[in-house]
Amino acid sequence: MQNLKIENTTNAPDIFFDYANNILDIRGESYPENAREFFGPVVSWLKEYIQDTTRSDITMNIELVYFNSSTSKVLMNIFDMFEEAAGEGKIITVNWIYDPRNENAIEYGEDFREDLENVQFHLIPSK
Amino acid sequence: MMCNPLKLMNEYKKHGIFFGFNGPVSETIVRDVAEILKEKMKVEGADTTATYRLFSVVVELLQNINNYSAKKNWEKITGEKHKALGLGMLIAGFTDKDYYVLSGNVIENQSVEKLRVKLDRIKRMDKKELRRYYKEQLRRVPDEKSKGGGLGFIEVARKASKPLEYDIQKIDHLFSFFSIQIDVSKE
Repeated sequence: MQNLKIENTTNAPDIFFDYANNILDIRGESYPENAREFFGPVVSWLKEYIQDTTRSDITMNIELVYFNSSTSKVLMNIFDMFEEAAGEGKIITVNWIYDPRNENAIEYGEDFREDLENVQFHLIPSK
Repeated sequence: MMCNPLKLMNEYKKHGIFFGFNGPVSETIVRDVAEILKEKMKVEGADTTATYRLFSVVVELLQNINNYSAKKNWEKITGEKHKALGLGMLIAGFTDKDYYVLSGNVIENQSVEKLRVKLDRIKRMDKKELRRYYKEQLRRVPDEKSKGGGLGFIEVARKASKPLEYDIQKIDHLFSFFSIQIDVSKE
């Protein structure tokens, strides 16, 4: 698989998925008007990555300072996909990295964590 | 001059308004307005949580105008030629304890009832209920339709320090003017 790299812009995050080194990073702010469109290639890449049978251990780092409701929907879809794969035996970890001064980022991390049983979802303060 | 800018400025000042916009909205405008307001709050040493709450409210309300203001469907509704631009206004200001964001745009009369039901429902909810409702709607909004639609108002209500206020006034047999105010705690 090819690596996936999308440079961040003001309203869309930095995406860096490194296949060989198992690095999945999403960082920045995310409020494109049509998040589904922006994240389309991201979701497709992850779908393929999850199905890769040589990989049993997957870790994603998400450090989103802000995201809009449209992005929220996409994130939920990604976590649902992870949850399903984790239910089938993959070890999937999500590190939700947040600025402790920003209550919003913690709250939304907790929201996502609540719905996940099989995915290891960690809330990690950034500093 | 068509109007008195100083008088307008003083009116803004009186209401604590530090930002005002009226006109066509684009994705670029949403981004730039949100970013400059965030920058301003950072420079002034505002609380980080308050800054991102305000940022979120500004983004959601402007994106709402861009997606749902009736001007987008003007031609379809009236048959008159009109460019498909989201049109609306947004102002941001402060009082002693809160920041506030007020937005307004034209909507179609036929969407008034649905909007009222939705906003009245959100208005009655406390934070816990809003959180639950948000998660519920997140699952319900179909992927293909979702521009975040339907979630925006719940999102801004979650950020608010008091129940949202809104107003809908009839303009003519086709259109009404919709406005909404969200207060965000300074702390």
